Amino acid sequence: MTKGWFFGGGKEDSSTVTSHESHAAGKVHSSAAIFPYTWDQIFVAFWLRYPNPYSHHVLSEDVVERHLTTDNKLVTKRLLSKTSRIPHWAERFVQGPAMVFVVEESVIDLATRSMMTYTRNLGYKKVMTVDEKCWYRSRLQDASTTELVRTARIESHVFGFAKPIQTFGIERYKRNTGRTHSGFLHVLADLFPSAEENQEIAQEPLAKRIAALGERADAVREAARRAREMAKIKTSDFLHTSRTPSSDNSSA
Amino acid sequence: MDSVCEECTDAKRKYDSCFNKWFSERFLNGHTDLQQCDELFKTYQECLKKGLVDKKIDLGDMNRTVLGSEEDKLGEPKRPEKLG
Repeated sequence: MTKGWFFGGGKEDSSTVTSHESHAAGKVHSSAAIFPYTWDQIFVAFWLRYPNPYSHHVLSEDVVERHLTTDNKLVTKRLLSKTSRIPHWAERFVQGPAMVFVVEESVIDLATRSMMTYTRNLGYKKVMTVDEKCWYRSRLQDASTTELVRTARIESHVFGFAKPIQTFGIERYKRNTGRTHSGFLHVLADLFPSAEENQEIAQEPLAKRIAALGERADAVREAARRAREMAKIKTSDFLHTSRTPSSDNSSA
Repeated sequence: MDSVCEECTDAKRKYDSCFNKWFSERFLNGHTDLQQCDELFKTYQECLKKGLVDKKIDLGDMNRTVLGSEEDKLGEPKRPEKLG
């Protein structure tokens, strides 16, 4: 069974519903998806989305605010840092940062079984702003599925280059949306395998599955850290060919 | 997932596991006792606030709230008709 799909008629993916609009103030891109998971499964997995095999560009994630409103909606603000690359042609005009901060606001409303998120970049704003809204809702037609509708607006105010920067921004946004979706599905499949896929895990209590997901994420992170350290040693070997890690013990 | 301030990752993960447990076992069952993770949240936030200042990270208008305010540029996302 296909786990999650897009709708419509995109060329690369025959099932993507997307729409495109150009405005004086930037470009707007909309898309939608249906998850074969219930709304509460989606909300649980939302907090556990990172890390996943598609999220190497996400460097850190922090909760900076969280509260319940008087009508019991859960409001959260998270700060994420991500790697950011700009195309070579643009580097001649603007200095791109290696990393960009992103703020994600979210409101979960159990009464309507829905979650709204708003994501925007901090800093680097004169070059490009990316604002994205995602709306997750339980489907009336089939409560075992959840729909997601996304809208994003990309704007640039770099004199003379706003258009190509916006076009680049939209293309990058679409690629990132695909990766985000794949990553989310990966985590969902890990947390909520269907009974025929993995009978043992599907019968375990959710808390145990969440903990197991965390442990697997730790293992991935630890492997990444070791790989970075190996890369550092190799780079320093290359830079100081007379020194090897074994002859360098004294300074360690 | 790691905190942007390495020294806070431990406090963050303790808080995260409290929150995730609360969210799946309490909140989704209609309970509103979020305060059971307050102490872990406070420890984590103290570390994070200090870390962000020490690192001189410019967070611009992070504290602004856009969702549900007039600054929201996007309105209600449009559902494609094909979604049914």
